[in-house]
Amino acid sequence: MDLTRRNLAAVLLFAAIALTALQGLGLAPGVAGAGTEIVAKHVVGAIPVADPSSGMWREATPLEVPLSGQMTVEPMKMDPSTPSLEIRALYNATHIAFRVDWQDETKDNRTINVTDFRDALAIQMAPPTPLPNVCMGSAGARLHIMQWKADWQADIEEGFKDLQDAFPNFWSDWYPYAMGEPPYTVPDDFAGNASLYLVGYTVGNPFSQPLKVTSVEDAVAEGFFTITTQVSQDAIGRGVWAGRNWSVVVARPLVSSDSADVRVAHGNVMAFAVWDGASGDVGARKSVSTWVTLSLGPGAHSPDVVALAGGTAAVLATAGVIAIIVLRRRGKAGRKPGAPGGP
Amino acid sequence: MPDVYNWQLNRAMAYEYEDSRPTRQVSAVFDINKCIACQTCTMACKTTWTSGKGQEYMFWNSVETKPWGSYPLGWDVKNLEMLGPAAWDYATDPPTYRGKTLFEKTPDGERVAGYLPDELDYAHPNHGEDETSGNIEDTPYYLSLPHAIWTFYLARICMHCTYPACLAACPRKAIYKRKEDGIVLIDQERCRGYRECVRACPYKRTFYNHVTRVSEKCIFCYPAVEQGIWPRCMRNCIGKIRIVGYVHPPALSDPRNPIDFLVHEKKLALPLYPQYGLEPNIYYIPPIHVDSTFNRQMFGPKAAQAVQMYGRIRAGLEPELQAVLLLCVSTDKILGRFDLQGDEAVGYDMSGVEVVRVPLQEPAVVREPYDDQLRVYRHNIT
Repeated sequence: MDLTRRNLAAVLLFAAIALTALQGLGLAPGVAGAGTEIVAKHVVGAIPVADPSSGMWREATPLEVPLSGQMTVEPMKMDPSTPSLEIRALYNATHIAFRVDWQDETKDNRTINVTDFRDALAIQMAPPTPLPNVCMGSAGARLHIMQWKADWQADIEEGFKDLQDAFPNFWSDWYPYAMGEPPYTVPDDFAGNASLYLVGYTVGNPFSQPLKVTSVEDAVAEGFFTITTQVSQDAIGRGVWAGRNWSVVVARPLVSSDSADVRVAHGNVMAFAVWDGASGDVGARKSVSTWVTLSLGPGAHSPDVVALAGGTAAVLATAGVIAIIVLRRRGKAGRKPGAPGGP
Repeated sequence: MPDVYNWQLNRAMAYEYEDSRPTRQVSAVFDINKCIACQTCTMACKTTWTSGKGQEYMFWNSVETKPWGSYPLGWDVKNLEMLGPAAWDYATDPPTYRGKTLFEKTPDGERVAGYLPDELDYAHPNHGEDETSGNIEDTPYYLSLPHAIWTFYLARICMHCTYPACLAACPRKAIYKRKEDGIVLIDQERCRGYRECVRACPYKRTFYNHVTRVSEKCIFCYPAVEQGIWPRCMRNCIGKIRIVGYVHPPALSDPRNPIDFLVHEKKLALPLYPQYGLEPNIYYIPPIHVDSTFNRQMFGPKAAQAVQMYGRIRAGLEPELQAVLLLCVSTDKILGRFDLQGDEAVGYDMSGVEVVRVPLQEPAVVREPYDDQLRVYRHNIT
C-alpha cells in the first residue's frame, strides 16, 4: 500500500490514540502539555529524589502549569516572576515525588542580609472535597503544604551559612557566654546561656535552626496566616540549579502516620507556588498556580497484571477500530469526484 | 480597610484592623533639650538584649544627630518623600491633618506604604554625629542668639504605636499588641522572616536578625514594666531626659497622670512624625533652639507652642510642670499620679503608694567667691 496522505493521516491518528491510551495507563512517557491533571507514574524501586537529572524522571509525563501573581491577599505580587512550571510525578510502594522545573536567572540561596530572599517552591495537596481555598486553604479544609527552600538546602549541603559567610571581614571579639574563638560558630559556640541571645533558635523556630535535617518544610494551613510547621517532618527533597533553571524534587510518604498529613490519593487536588528571591519574593509575594488534579497511574494501586494487560488490549483494540472507521470514511470521501485530495 | 480614630491627626483614618486600644498604653516622654548623645541608653539596651550574634548592627535604641544623622540611613526623609507635602488645617483646634498617612498612601497590592532599607543603611548607627545644620565659622550667626546654626540629638526606640504599621503589614499575624499595656511584640516562634514589618515600620524599629533569620524589635523591657520598673534605656539615662508612664487618649486624660499632664494638659510633649499616622506613643519635648519649620515637620503643628511652654518653666510660671519633670527623673518606678504639695513634688506608683518626694528647689548654700581669711578664690561656691 502506498503511503498516501490519507494513509499517513490514518496511521498518525491511530498512533496518537494508542499513545494517549498508553500514556493514560502510565505505560508510556508523555510530552509536556497544558492541562489540569498530573499523572504520577508508578515505578518499582527507589525514586531518584536526590537526583533531579536522573533519566527515570523522563519516564513521567510532564505537565506544564501556568503561574500568575498572588492577587488574593496583600501583600500581592502583581506579575508572576515565573511564567510556568513543568511538573512530573513518580511514585513507588512507599513514596510519591514531584519534580518541578522552572526558569530562574539567579540562584538565591542565602537569607543572611536584610535584602536576601530565597528561591523556593511550595506544593500543596488536599482532598478534592470540600475544595479548599487555593490560597492557604480555609477553616475546616486543611491543606498539606511542602515548601522546599534553597537556603535550607545550602545550609545542609554546605554547612550553616553564618554571619562570616556574608561579612567575611567582620570581627566581634566577644558574645555573652559564648565559648570558642572569633568569629564563633553557630550553634557549637553558643550553648547554654549564650543561646539565649539567639532567641528564634532557643524557642525552636524552624527558620532559626542552624542544623537542618531537610530542605523541605512539612506544614499545614487552614487559611491565610495559619501556615504551621508540622511536628513530624516527613518530606524530603533536593534542587539543582543549572543553566538558569531550577529542577527541584519534593517527596513524601504515600502513607503517613502523621495525622497532620493529607493522605495521598487519586483525585487529590494540588497547587504550586514559586518564589524568586532576586525579585524580592517572600511570603505572600509569590507566583501561584490554580488547582490541578493528581492522578495515580497504574501500579501499586492496580496490581492485577492480567487486568492491566486486558485493559491495555481493550483500549488499543478500541483505538484501532476507531482508526479503521475513520480511515474508511476518509477514503470514501476521498473517492468523490472533484473532492480535494482525491486521486 | 476599617476607619480608626487617630487623635494626633484629629481625624479618622484607614487602618488594617478595627480600633482596639489596650487597657492602658505604655508611653514615655523624651526631653530632647537635655540629651547629650552619650549613648548610655544605646549601650544599656545593647548589652541587655542585642549582644547576640546576628545583632551586631541592630540597635533597638539609638541616638542620632539631627538634622543629618539617621539610622538606618535616611529613614525619615525617605518616608517624608513617600508622603509628599503634608497639610495641617489650623482652622480646627487641635489642627487636623489633611494629608495622607502611610496607610492611606498605600500602593495597590500593599498593606502599608514602606520601603526595605539596604544592608548598608544599617552600617553607620551614628552617621552624621555632631554635624550641625551648616558651617558656623563663615556665617554672621557665629556665637549669636538665637541660633541659626543648630543641631540636636534624637533618641529613638520603638514607638509602641496605637496603630503599628509592623503589625498591620505582617501577613503572618506574628506581631501583636498586648492588651494589658500596649507593648508591641514579635512572636519569635511565629515569625517566618518575611521582613514585611521591616519594610512597613516608618521608624524602622523592627530589625532582621542575620543569624536567626527572623525579625526582632524593642520589647519595652516588659519584664521590668510588669514589675512597675522603667525599661533599661530609661533607667540608665545619665541626662535624665526620659520619663516613663502610661498615656490615655485625650478624652480620657487624667490631669494628675504625669504623661497625660505633659502630653494632653500642657501639650509640652509631642509625637514624632504624627503625619505617618501610627499614633506613636513615645513623646518628645521639642528642642527649643531649632528652626521652627524643622520642628513643625518633625513634631507636628503644636511644636512652636511647646517650645513656648518650655520657656515658661524657666520663667517660673509652671510649677506643676516643673514638679512633673523633677519627679519623673528622681525614680525608676512607673508613676501613675503626681501631686504638688507646697514646694515639694510627690509621686505615686500605679497602686497609689508614694514612692518619691522631691523639693522643687534643692536647698543650697552659696558662699562668697573670695575667702578673705585664706586670701584665695573658691572654685566651688555652692
